Amino acid sequence: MTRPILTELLAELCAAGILEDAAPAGPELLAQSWANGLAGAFTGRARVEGRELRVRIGIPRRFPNVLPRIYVLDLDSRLPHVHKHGYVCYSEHDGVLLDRRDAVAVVADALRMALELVASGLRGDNSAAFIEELALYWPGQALALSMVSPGEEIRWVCGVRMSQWWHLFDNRAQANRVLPGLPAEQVLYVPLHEVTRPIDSTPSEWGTTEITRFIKQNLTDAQRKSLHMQLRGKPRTSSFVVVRVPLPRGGQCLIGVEYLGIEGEHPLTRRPGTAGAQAITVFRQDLDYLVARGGGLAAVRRSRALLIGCGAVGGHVAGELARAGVQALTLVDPDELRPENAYRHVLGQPLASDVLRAFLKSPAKVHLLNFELKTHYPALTVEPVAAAIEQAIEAGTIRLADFDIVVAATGDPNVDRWLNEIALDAAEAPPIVYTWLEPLGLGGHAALIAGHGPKQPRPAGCLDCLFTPAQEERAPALCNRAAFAAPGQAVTRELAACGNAFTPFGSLDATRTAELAVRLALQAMTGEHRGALLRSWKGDPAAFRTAGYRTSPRFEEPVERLEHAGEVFSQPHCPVCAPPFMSRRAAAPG
Amino acid sequence: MTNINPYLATFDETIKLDWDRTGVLRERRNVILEHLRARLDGPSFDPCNQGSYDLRTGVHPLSGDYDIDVALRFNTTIDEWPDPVALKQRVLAGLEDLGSSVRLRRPCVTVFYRRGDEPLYHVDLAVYARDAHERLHIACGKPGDRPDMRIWQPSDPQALGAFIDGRFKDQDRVQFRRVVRVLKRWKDERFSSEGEAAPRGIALTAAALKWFRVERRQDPVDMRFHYDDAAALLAMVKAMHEYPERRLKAKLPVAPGNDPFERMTERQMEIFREELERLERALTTALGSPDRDGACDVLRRVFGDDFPGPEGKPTRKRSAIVASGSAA
Repeated sequence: MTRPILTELLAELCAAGILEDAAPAGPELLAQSWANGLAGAFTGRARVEGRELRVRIGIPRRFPNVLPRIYVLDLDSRLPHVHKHGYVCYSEHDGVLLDRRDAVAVVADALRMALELVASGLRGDNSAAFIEELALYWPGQALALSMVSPGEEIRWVCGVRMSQWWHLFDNRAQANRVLPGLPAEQVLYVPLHEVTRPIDSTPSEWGTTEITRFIKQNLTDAQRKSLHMQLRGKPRTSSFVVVRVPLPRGGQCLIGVEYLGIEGEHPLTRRPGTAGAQAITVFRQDLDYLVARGGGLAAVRRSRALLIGCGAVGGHVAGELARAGVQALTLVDPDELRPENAYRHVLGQPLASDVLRAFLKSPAKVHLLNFELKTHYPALTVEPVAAAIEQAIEAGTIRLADFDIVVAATGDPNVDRWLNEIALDAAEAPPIVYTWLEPLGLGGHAALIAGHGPKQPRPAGCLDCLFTPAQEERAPALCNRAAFAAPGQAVTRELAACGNAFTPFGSLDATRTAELAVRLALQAMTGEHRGALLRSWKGDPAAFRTAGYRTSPRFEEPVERLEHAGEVFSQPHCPVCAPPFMSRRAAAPG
Repeated sequence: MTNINPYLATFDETIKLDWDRTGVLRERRNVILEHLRARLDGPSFDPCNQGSYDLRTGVHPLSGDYDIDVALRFNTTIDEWPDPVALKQRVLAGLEDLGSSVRLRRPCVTVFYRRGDEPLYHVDLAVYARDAHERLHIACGKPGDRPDMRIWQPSDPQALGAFIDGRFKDQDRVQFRRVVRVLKRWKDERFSSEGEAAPRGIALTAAALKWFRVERRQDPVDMRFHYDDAAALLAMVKAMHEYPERRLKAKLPVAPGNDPFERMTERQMEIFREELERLERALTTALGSPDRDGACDVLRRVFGDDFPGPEGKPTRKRSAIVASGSAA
């Protein structure tokens, strides 16, 4: 904001009468720390709940792209949402649309919202918000990153100190996996069940006594007893306690306390000795929190997924399954990453890195992907299997029933159809999503086949139903009924010599196909879809047609049907899934 | 339940008389027309195919006696040739030194080709001329007929084809033709020893125009239309068999608008309807048969040896290795 415009705006705001006796703040005031980031400010008076308060309105340099800042001075007690320097947190900064053509109205609205919040605080209406914001007020002389899953029981978890940071883990195994070779200490996890009493002063001003009292007064009797039993008579000089605080509006936060120089019994026993306490800010990095924060699904957490095929589509599927919150991911693919696929594979050209090359056992895609996933999602357990799925199943390395979901992204219909028969023959099998794409941006598909338990009937519909011609077909041909390309066309290209034929498609096609497949997989896991369902996305056919290829009648179907509704594709006469199962393959035409 | 459509498709491939593939017949027709053009003492003419060639409902004859129906549309009027037989005699004269047996018959002039005593094929040349309103008439009668039998009868050699084209579109029409061909072969097979008991081919075409209904279903996934010839055939045969009147009636929808079944006697009609019942029974049995072998056996009994047998797979074998077009 230029100086003349700011001057004009401040004059206009002062004249608008939103504050009494409004006057622009001078350069000395603006040089103070509260005014960091402000282009200008003005001060005036406002009446709130019968009291006259001094109010400052700060105009940020980025205004009106961001909200103005409101400060309320002269408060003699702490109010929820009122922070250092009297700054009132009256609105979230994200998710608001501002009328950039009427700056005065934006400031007036901001002031109104801030004063309403202050009035509510003065009346005592929103004292619960103190607890809501506890983690925000928690002073945090040190910091901790926590992968601890907040449970309901008091328990010992594990902490690794690295310089100023603590890293907290559910157990030693997790600590070793993420930070191998570092010494770990016991950390006490204490989940508070209900924090009924509002906090009566500012945590930032609390000492050891206030911190300990806050914890103890919110423990249940059983918890007090349990802590006493676990801690008494075990002398220690220091102790890290991570406390789960349930929030009034749902959710929970973690705060940390490190007791130092303990003399006598632990401060959380019934007859505590003496100790100093330091508050520690805890950043949650546990799967539950991160998955929920990232838009993942509760039903997917703690699930085990099997991904068959880690190519362009599979690479994206792996990442999306991880981000959706699966706990364990098994990757099966016999291939090594080929440099020519770098620009359509999620791994790019990782082998160009000497560090990575030295680190990896082999350049198999599964090992590279394992490294990539673990780097980004340390809580995820990844099991790489560098083998063809046929070998892995026949050798017993992979058992379908061990998984909650399978995504088959081999792009090879022969392997997929084999797997389909294996799954149908098995006593139990999870839902399987088969996914593949078509060349030149024509489209991609994901077909969900329902799973079945040991004594459950298999639901109708299997992958082979897509390869089963209509009952009345006069000239049954071997083709996939889902295809967007008319049958009988070979769409591969060769850039180098024989054996280097490839199907032309790009990273965007792979990403879109993976998204379709993972969404369908997640819907299967949440129980939204239980039967066979086919979904397809269709792209621009121009490149395909220009290359001289023909599209199928299915390609002409509306996007709404193909991509959103999906199609039930079971064939009542399918040689694989239609009863009677016993005689099926003998009668099948191929 | 057995899908007999692939077998019907194979059967159709075997029995279908494809004008584009019957090179000898087409060549012979052209030889005759060139011969006639060169020697005809009369008005010029435009030839065109008519009958089952035009309708593409022709089937290979069991006897080997192929016939080709050609319409000669003369560039003259019926007023200039009040006696149609006179014009037919000019055609006969034009073909006399062709080296084959040529006869002037009531509906046409026929050229016969034989190998020894066996008839190979014959070419029927029907003579047409226009009236003052440009409507075509066919020359009927032969020398020696009474004057009232020597007449120009309103008839357009291509009207029936045009009517069918208008009634059935694209693949619907192709199914119509397939069903007619199957019925024609069935007729040849079942009535070959019955002589005149057999209904004419045109009667089956007229019947199809009355009783045939397209049977197709769209696959909800690949969105292709699948034509169920077995269902269409069964439905048509059933409708004919269950026709409530004693005699089947199916008037042609174009001039002269006659009913080709009229020529059948009561006894012939009775036999015909008994055969229809047998055909319906055979189709129902085949469709309900638990295996293909049984289905083919039953159908060979009504359609003859050209129907694929239990040991014979469909000739249009599906490829076992095709491009999948999929990747990931």
